[in-house]
Amino acid sequence: MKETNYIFQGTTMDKELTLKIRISEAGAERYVENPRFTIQSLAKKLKIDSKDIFELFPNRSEILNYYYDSRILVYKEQIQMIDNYSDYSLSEKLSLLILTLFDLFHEHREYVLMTYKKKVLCSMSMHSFESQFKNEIKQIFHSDRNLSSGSSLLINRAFYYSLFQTFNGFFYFWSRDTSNNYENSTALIDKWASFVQEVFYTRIADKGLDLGKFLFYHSPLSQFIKR
Amino acid sequence: MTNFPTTKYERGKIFAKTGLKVGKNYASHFLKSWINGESDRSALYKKSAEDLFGEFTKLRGTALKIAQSFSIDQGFLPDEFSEVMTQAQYKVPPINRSLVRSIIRRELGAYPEQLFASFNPEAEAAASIGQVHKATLKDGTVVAVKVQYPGVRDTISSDIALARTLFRTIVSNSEQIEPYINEVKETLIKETDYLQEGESIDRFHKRFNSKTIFTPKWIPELSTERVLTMTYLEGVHLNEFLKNEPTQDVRDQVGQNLWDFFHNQIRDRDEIHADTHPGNFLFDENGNVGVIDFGCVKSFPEKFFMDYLLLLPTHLRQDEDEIKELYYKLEILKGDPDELPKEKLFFDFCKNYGFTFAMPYMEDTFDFGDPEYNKLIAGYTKNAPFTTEPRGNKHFIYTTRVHLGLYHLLMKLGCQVDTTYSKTIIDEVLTNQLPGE
Ligand SMILES: Nc1ncnc2c1ncn2[C@@H]1O[C@H](COP(=O)(O)OP(=O)(O)OP(=O)(O)O)[C@@H](O)[C@H]1O
Ligand SMILES: [Mg+2]
Repeated sequence: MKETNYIFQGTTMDKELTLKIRISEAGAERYVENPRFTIQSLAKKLKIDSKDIFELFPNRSEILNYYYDSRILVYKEQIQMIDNYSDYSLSEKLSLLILTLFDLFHEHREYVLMTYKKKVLCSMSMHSFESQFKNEIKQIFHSDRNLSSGSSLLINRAFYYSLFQTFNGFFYFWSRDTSNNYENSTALIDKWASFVQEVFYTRIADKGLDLGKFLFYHSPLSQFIKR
Repeated sequence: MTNFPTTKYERGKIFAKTGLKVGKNYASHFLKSWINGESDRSALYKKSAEDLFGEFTKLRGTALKIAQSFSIDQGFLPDEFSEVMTQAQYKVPPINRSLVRSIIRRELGAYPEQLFASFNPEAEAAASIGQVHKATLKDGTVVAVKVQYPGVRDTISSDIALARTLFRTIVSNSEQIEPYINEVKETLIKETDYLQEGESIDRFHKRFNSKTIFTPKWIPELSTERVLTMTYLEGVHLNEFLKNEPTQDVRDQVGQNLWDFFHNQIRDRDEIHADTHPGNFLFDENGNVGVIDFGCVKSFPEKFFMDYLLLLPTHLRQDEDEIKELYYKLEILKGDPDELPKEKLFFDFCKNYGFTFAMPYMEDTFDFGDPEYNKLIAGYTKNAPFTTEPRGNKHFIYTTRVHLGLYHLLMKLGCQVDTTYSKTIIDEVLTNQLPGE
């Protein structure tokens, strides 16, 4: 049985939340063993009462969905433990978010590979993982004081959406990455984050804004992105 | 018996003799015949060097290593090129704090704040394919943690391929550089494996760690192929050391330590620390020397190595036939200098250079601070005739890097060294006898 609770070392998360996360992680593990696992078997595995599970989750599917939501929570917990996080640069914050998510995904790689597309990308309404991801991105950009004035105009809903799509692109790359410890994915994410920072910290954005806006609002892409 | 000539030369005369040849006649003669009146050739080189430099910076560490191997020490690339390339060292982008954290987590299984009592997220120093962080272990040991930039190994092959194409644009007879490129590639790939480097650190620590030469101790529990942990060495780099204006005594002491360290390595006929550039040595105010960076250690084929060492006494004896014969063996000459003017130019150059190079071994002490000597060596580097054509056995890349690198360090230190012990070592190695046997 894989031990994944290292994540909670020294954290301040409350007990209920910790339990919820533990249940969803165990659920992810059970899912890999048997996609039709029962709540009872999960409770047994966790050595708790199935009643405790039902108190927190209405059904099995919610447990499996919550796995994704909780990755963002774990990430948030981690950044609280980093000294000087607030003076991290844009590229550092962006790569931290994405690298941490992939570090976490790696812990349940099989589950993630089996379900990410189905659960997160093709869910009927927007999966809360997506909205929380965008929310984190939003905070990263809004808390950054070094953005060039023009570039802040680029930051809007469509932009968050496009970053989420980029994340999905990384996901695709990562899912096929056979390099040692995903170092190719890591390098890609780093190069990308540096690039984004370059665009947002310099006046490239200022200069290119007019052009960018024009292209954006007059291309078929915008129709697609507004879905 | 001794391999070194026992006659004493008058130093002044020798300087005058070799200096004249290299400094003036030789250089101008060479330039005329070689360049055929193309006077703006140098400007051309500068231009392409700058273009290349632009391309090379995209290659991160690989470029740096190639530059180090090919530029100053090997001498077959134009001076302008080396000039531009040496800037590369200071231009590699850092690995940011998030990345460092994530790499440590993946390589060592936990985040730095969990593994170490303290870990400085700001890099202490840049390394060519990564960077070095200072940290403290839970038992209080201060360590240096070298973290490799992700994906370096994968990119080396493609980088080399690109570098090869780039070199072809400035090096004539490009097929001749193949063996050199392959040699560098192999070395580079090897350097990406920090476990091998860790093992080298271990071996060198056992061989050399002493009162005057100190080397790091490997911490294998916190090391992987991509992360290398070793004890932290106190001390400062050469430039900083010199800024504090150490006394002549201290500088001599440092020089002597470096000189003896170099020859002790030869004496064992074992591996040699093959990366003698200033960044790899640390100095303290007592004249002790810290040696770091064991990513590039080499052992040379016995035959080559003996011939290489033989260059020293042979040049000093100044017997042209003997020198010629040795040059053929070492692939320095490609034809008879008495018949081919180009070979003659080359022969004359090398003969003089070789002599100058062997001068420290002439008497029992040698003053590397002698400004005339510095000028001479600089003159050779500048006027090397083999700018666009590689010469010599491929192992020269590293022997010259080490040997010339040592001279550069000693010249910068402006120190005087006692060479008696080193001559004994070379003599004994050449006569296949270990000292004390
Ligand atoms: N054990 C150590 N103690 C103190 N400083 C160290 C130690 N190891 C490395 N450093 C510092 O880090 C720098 C780079 O380390 P190192 O030379 O090992 O890297 P590298 O990638 O091999 O670089 P290069 O090939 O350019 O020499 C050193 O110049 C030194 O300043
Ligand atoms: Mg080094």
